[in-house]
Amino acid sequence: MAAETGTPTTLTLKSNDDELFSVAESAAILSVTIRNMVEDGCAGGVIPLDNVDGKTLASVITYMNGISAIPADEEKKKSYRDKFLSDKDFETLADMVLAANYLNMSCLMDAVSAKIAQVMEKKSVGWVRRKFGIENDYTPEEEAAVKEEHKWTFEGVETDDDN
Amino acid sequence: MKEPRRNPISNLQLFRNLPLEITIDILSRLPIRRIAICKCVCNSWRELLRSREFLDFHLSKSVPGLLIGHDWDPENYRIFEFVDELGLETHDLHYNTVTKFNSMGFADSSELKGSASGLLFFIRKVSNYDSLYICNPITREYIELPYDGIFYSDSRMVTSVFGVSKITRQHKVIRVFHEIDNRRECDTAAHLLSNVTKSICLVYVLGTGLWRSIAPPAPFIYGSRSIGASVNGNIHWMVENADGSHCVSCFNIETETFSTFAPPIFPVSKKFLVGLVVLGDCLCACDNTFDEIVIWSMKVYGDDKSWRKEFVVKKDGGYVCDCDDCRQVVSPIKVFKDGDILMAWDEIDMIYYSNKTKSITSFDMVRLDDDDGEGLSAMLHTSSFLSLGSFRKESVSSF
Repeated sequence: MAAETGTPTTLTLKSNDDELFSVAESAAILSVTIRNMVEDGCAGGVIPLDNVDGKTLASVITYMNGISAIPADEEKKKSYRDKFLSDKDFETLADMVLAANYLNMSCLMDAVSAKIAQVMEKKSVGWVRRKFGIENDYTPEEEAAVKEEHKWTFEGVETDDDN
Repeated sequence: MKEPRRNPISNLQLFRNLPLEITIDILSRLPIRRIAICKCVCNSWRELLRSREFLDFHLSKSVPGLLIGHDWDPENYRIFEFVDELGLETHDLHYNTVTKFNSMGFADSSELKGSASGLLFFIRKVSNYDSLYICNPITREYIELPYDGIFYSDSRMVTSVFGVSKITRQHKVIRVFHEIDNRRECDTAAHLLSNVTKSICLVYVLGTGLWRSIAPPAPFIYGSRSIGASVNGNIHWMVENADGSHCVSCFNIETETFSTFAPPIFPVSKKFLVGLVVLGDCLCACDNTFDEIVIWSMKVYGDDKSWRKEFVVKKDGGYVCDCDDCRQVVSPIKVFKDGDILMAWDEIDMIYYSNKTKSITSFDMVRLDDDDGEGLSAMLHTSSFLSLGSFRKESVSSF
């Protein structure tokens, strides 16, 4: 691997919309999926990532580079992750969580899941349905019954569906 | 960087592709009230959110909150979430109320005796026997356990704990009872223990509807108010032996077997004000006998050579007690990231140690009236939608 030779090895990643990205191997192997390919010797040419589009991959690579430049200091890594995700909208976060899952990057996965949950915290049921692409399959009576079941949890809950 | 908006439909497709475990991972991070609201999204989310898979995952991810209540104020048991971040001036101003509940809804004058994986254990003492209750303050369900047949004359000789086994995740109530011949002298530990005529240990696995008898431990005396310290799938008590010495009695909730190991070596004293607690994932012994509160932690679980002094908190002013018959045990509840420690001062008060000022003060989070005396219960509790209705053979009521 990179460290053995002294010259950093660069990998070329290809998104599913055929964009090519160069990334240092040391950063790219944060992805277990990519690391396995490197270890299996399949990384000689271009690594195709069929489940990630170019825009999301660019973002993931920014993260890979940023986080791998931070020495082993969990607090600093955490604050980098918080900052990295702070300006991402819900759609981007959704793309990122799928990419992190496909690339098997547990630290990114964890951070994005937490961020999505944080965004959801103040949203209404309608907002959640819209953003998650879920159809309301309750009858009005059923929905009322579910609400009734946990009546106290609805008291004093405010929602803010902006963004 | 300006990002172009995409067609939302493609995004919805993406989210539909989300593997179930990711959905579970995301939803399990929501505050408990939000989870209830998410049940209203659709049928499949409702099913998901009440599946044992989700509930177990949520319990394992949740940071426990604080449950606090008073025996004399059963209408006002309260559960809080902590905000534990570095840089807070003081923690008693940073918390959110999760819910409040009334234990009169299921039992008059009961005492809170434990919390395990979302459920609470209450005991109502009725002259010489106990009525036992399990409730979930989030789903507002409760059950009364069938009578266990134990009738006791000395409350020092009976103890009850509630815990969850490590592998099979079963909720269990354990009752240990040493029957004594009280026609004979029972003043000292040695007397009491030499008069034990029978030892009984009963286990109730939630969902089975029956008490089972198992091999009891050797006779010993329990701290009268100890609710046990649960860690690593074991419940621990600090107990007294016939010779007046103390040891840790350990019950493996999974295998239902008892063992003992040595506590830290405490300085010799007529008083013994030590209680066992769990801080983080570490079994700790808190010694309030002298002018300092000393918290020992067992660095390597099960290795009684690994007890180390973890915190030494200087007591000052009203917290020093010189009387010989003082019984006030301190139970640390939570160590915050900044080193501050929340503790229960016996059953009387909540105290708070500031790592910055190295001093203890009364904890203002829940206003306690000085005149109210004993009966305070404070412990960590993880809120969950685990429904008692999911346990077979239990007749569940609402409160």
